[in-house]
Amino acid sequence: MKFLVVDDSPTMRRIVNNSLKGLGYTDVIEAEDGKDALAKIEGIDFIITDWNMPVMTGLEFTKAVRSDDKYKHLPILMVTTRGVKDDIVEALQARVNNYVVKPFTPQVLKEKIDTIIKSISTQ
Amino acid sequence: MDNKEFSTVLTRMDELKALFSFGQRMMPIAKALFDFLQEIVPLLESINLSIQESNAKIPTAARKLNSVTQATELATTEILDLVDKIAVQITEIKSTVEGMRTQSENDKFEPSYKSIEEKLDNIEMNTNSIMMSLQVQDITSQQIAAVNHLMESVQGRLGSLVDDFGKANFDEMKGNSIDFPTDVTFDANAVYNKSTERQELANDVVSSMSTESESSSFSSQADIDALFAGTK
Repeated sequence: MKFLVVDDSPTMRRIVNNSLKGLGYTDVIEAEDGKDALAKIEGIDFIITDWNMPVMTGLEFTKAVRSDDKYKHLPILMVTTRGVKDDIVEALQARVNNYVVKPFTPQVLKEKIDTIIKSISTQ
Repeated sequence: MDNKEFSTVLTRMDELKALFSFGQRMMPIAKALFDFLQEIVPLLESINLSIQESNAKIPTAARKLNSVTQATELATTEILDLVDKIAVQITEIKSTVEGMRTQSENDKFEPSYKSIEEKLDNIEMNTNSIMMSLQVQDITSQQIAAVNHLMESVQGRLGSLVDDFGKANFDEMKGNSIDFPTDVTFDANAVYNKSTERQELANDVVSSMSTESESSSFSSQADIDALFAGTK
């Protein structure tokens, strides 16, 4: 399974990337904002994106992916510092599959990835 | 000069006298006003200067805050490099222990091998915890970006205030404005909080909205609010 990690913070990209490797997912590429991610989306199976990013935010990126027939089915997990209800609702209305609040633990990341993969496989 | 004309002169003189009398009464007030202006003008100039000086210091403060973000980013990268090296070394040691175990025909070393492996697992767990704790760098950098944004607003307001005084050369101040990165986005409410409360809220919202999409019973923000208020 090929992951795309989208975050403007190199530190966060590396932490998410290392966490994924710890969970056994070694095929990971990184993008620093939504626009960069759209350019790298070909061949991706799973997207993990931050919300607050320059150029194109995670929310704008999610909407762009969902409006593209070729990629709209891709699972998207949002990992962000935004932890208030209105933000969570907004992200879900933009149709992210699940939501993780920073700082996260590898256990939470694993749980959300597993939940998404399970829900996709049962569809 | 007839009587009528003389009477007019007297009336005018009475009026003049009243005017002088009013002027005499006004003198202390005028003097007080003058004294007040003498005191207030330097004070206003001092305030104006103060604002200009404070405004001039904001770009320096912003630069220092930005350098904090850069320094923590660099330090975090160095720590992550070390964590990666430790992870590689742990894997190598585990492999060595496994090699010793398979080569050894004596079971008496097995407890030692297990003990070493347990300790290595603990070290691995601790280095993972260190890595996850480094998320604080991203969160603090967003907090710093939020402060910089606030300072940008303050500088703008102070600039307008100085401009209103009409004394300062605002164009010069504009030249001294903060070089804020225009492409920075941030969460002003970002917090480094390991409590599970916010993740639990996210889980609840995800769960309720999944139910919504399955049953189509909730269709609006009001429905979601009602759900959380326990009225639905």
